[in-house]
Amino acid sequence: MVRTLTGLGRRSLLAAGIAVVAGCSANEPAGNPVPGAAPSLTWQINQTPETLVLALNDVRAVYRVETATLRGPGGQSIAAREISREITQRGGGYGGPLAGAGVGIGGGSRSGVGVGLSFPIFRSSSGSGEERRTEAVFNVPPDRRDLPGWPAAWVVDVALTDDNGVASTATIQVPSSG
Amino acid sequence: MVRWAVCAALLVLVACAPRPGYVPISEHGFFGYSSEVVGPARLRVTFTAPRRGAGGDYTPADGPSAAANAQQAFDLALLRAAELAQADGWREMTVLNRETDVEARVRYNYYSDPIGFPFGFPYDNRRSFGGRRVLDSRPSSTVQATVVLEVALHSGQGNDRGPVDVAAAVSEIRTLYGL
Repeated sequence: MVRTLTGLGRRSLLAAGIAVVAGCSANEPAGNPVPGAAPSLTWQINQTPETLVLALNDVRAVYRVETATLRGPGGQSIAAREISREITQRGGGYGGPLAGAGVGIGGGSRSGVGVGLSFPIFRSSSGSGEERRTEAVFNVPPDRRDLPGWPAAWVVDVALTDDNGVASTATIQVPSSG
Repeated sequence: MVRWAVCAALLVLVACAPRPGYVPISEHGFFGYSSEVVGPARLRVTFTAPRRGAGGDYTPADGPSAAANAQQAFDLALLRAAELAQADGWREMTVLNRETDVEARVRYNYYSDPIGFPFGFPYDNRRSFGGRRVLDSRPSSTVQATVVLEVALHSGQGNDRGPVDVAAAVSEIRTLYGL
């Protein structure tokens, strides 16, 4: 009996674990994971003739991007000219029934039909979520040949602070196209 | 009678017009400007715009309200920098870098569906919430933007030049926001 319960418990636990993992992975963004950071944080780099734009998306809003610096092989560095952070907080409240409606029919010597409405007195709330998007814009020369070793030898250093105030630096390789 | 109606409409319009919130942040606490000197001829100015309604369900990708709020925060941070520069005798300035923070809040309310589709409660969506079929009221969003600018100040003479004319910036931004 104990063994059966334990087996059931294990199976339930496994099923719950799979459900949790599936639920989590459904929310994970597609994109390049940031090395050394939680998987909720992903990056993309887009380039225009005069700019390089690093976009970071954090579906769980774990990190705040403090600074971003483009760093070359000879110690050259270009600080982001512009950093835009956007945090979206979504919250919901369950208000209970908006109103309850009922129809009653009674029989007997005199039949009748009654209509009733009820309204909620108490409310409860639940549900919330945060997502953070950050864009760092770097000025780069239109002719990338002015940047020695471009792009293979260039990286972006991103200074991050997590929810607990712990600082870290993630390094992202500049892709050959993007 | 018509004149009174026009006056009333104008009063309503004035009352409803968005306030730029151009005050020291220490005065209000939730919006306004602050500044600090960060070096010789260098200033850092912060402006937090008042929180604004952003319509229904806020989508970062097409958040015009956030863009407008961020633009306002940028303009008024620039105005504050220009005013400080002008008061100190500088004629031109350069924006060295800019940080923008936009905080959007979206609020949903869910209610049990007492009657069921299609009887008309004023709700747009029906969805499952905690296993129950519920009515989803129209969401409401608000945004608030903060801009931090670091500016270099220039005398406007010789090689000490910058792209922003301080006097023109003060005049134009004040006119734009009715300050």
